[in-house]
Amino acid sequence: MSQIRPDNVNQLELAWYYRTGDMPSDFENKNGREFNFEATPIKVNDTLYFCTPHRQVIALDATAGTVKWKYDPHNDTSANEYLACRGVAYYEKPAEAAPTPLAPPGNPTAAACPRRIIATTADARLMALDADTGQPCPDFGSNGYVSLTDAMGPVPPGFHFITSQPLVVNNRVILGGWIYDNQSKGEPSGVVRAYDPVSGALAWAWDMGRPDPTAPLKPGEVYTRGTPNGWGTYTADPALGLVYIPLGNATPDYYGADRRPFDDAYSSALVALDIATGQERWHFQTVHHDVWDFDLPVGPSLVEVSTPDGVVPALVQTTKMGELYLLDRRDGRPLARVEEKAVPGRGLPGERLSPTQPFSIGMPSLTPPPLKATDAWGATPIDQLLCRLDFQRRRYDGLYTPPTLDRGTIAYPAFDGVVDWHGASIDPSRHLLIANASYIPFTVDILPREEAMKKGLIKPWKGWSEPYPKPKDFSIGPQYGTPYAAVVQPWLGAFGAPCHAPPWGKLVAIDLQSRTIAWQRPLGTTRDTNLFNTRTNAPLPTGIFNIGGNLVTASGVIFIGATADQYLRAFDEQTGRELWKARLPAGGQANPMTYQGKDGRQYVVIAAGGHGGLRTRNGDYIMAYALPTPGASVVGMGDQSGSH
Amino acid sequence: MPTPQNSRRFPWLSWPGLTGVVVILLGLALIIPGGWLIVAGGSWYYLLAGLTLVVVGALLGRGRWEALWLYALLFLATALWAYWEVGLDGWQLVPRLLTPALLGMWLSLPWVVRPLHGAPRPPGPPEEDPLATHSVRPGPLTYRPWLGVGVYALAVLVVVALGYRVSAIRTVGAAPWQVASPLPNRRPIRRCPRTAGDTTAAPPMATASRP
Repeated sequence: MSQIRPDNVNQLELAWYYRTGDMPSDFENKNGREFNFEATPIKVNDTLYFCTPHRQVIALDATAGTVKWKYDPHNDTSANEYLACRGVAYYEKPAEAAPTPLAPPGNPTAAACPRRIIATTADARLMALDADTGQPCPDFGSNGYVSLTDAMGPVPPGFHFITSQPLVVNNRVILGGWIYDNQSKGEPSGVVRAYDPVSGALAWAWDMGRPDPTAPLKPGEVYTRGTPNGWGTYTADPALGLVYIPLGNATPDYYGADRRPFDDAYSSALVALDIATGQERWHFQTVHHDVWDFDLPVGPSLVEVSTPDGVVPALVQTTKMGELYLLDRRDGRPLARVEEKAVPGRGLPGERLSPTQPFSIGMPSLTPPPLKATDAWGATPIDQLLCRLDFQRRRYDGLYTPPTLDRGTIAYPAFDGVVDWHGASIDPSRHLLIANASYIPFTVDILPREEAMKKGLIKPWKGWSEPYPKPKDFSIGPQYGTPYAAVVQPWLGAFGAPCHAPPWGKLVAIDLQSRTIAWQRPLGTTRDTNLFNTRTNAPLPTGIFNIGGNLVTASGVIFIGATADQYLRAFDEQTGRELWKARLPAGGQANPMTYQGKDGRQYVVIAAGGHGGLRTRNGDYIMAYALPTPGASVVGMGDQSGSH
Repeated sequence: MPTPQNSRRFPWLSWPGLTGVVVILLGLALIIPGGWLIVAGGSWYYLLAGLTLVVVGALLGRGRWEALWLYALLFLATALWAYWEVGLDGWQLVPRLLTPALLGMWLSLPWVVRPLHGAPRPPGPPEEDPLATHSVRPGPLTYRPWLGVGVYALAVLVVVALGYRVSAIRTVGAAPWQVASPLPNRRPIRRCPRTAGDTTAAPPMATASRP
């Protein structure tokens, strides 16, 4: 895509917008619950496909922005802490239409749904829709649906759903899912499953807790519960036949004394599985015995790098810590030096911490410098003083400070990572990795179970046979089955300002050949931030919190929304200079996407629907920008009636 | 210091008087956690600043123009302390100096300053209240309201400008590459610190050509 270039991007204007009509209801953005419009639309055959937070799947004319079809699975989302859907996948039957070995004989598959959209619901079902009509494919599972809770054991409402798009590759639909983590031991399994895209039949399942992880279950068996899950977007290398699964850490997140050997082996690890069989080829662990919720939140970005041994297929794994791992994607071997370094000790009673953690010292790091007392921040001396007092009283020994009982800790970076589910983008021709980083410390307070109960933070619960008593706020992790509950909150001051000084967000370009930072800059301003519960602050260029990815085009333009101030921006890939920005009607916490419309124009689209965690304005917009054509005018489409 | 007689007490229900109450409350808000901060091993600044604010507030309540100069001294000391702590990082100076400067602007407004200098003269010979005498005498210490507003406003501007400056320093740009070419390419590479976190203390970047 090179119609939009650094020298003309400042002429970009809104070409059309579309409103989905999917908005949060009152309770869906309170008490830590989040309504997040994180979808990246995909474009196939001049059609854009995406999903809304309540899981409607929508097909738009990619050039005009008019709706082609809309499908609502009418799933029950009332128990879900998060309403988020990052996207859908597309599958097209091969032209020869050879019956797949997994399709049951006699299935009338030949004519139905030759092109399909593979998506998931918020109540853990996989669905296949006809890409042309939006109707469920009758030959897929049961009338278009496959249950993802089969053989999972008890799954109370809201405990398991899928937020990232399924990966469709080499005739497989591969997915894991989000688990309502930090609630209890023995939560639903983190099993990774692959399905046939035509029949919906299970092709393989990789369950790390079983002696043979891909052996089919016997009747009555369930996938090993409590295992690390891969909830982020997966990446695959079809040529190598490998899928890369970013695994989270074993829940409960902040206490790991009871973890099993396979939990400890795979927590926050990247695992390469054979796409055809699900068998493991290699794994690489980024955090040993993770008690910080440093889940790998996204699959790696693939790139080729030249080494003394020639050009090597590589991957870059971004992390919530800000470390970047450069690995050989054939065998998981680090291509940039990784060194085990000593980290702080003295965790919770009974906890066994890893004395070291793997630092990717051969690569630049996005990890922020350690906090100092003078970094305490606020809008006034008073809230700054309170933050400073908090800093003095809490334990903070830098990255990997473990949760402790005697006093609370500051976790920095923390679970709301430096680079979260959106990952980084790579310009393969210039060997630049473009990453936006967000910096926010969290406080971690550990309470013995009885104390947490006495304070009314959690309720008694006897186990999976009982209805689950959800804590009243998402910041409370009951960690049932362990001696401790955990309360994890962003480190904000008395007036809502951050307790630590800027920069709060950055955009960084990393040269993957020289393994150096090519340029970096603060990203975003304080506009729209929620100080004193207003969203009208002066736009100071401090660099601001961000979540949502960036896009780099062949012409050398970086597009990014993501920031807590509600803009879509364009930067010069060479220098990091800001070239253009457009005000969004709501938070743009989603990855932008670009394509060529059938009118020959290059479009840049982004979902603008806000993010509950970042407290940006909610909305239901898909915004499309293009260079002007004479006589063109903006067309707004969609359901403007408001709430879902 | 001698307390003026009740009959000559400065009215609380005036702009200086009400401001004095607010300043005392702000002082207390710094004194209490500021004391804890010292116990926790932190900075003495907040306690000392809080105590000074209480004195400023008390002086205001008594209608004494010295309050304005004491506050100016506190602001100057705060600026020096802030520079010592965080240098010229404007965003770090914001919590330390921004609202104090805004308070300074308020204290310099005519309806706060004029009653202090032209305090309602108690009946009787002026020598009974030497301070009141000082108050009205024009001299080098006469607080000029709009000048004070200007000085504090300038401080606000400097702080914000230093913020823009630190963001500019953190914007570490690259020289444009020569040619975007497929592997292996020969564009200049930049050597930078490994950590993206702190560039203010980073050595200058050098440009080198990759073999």
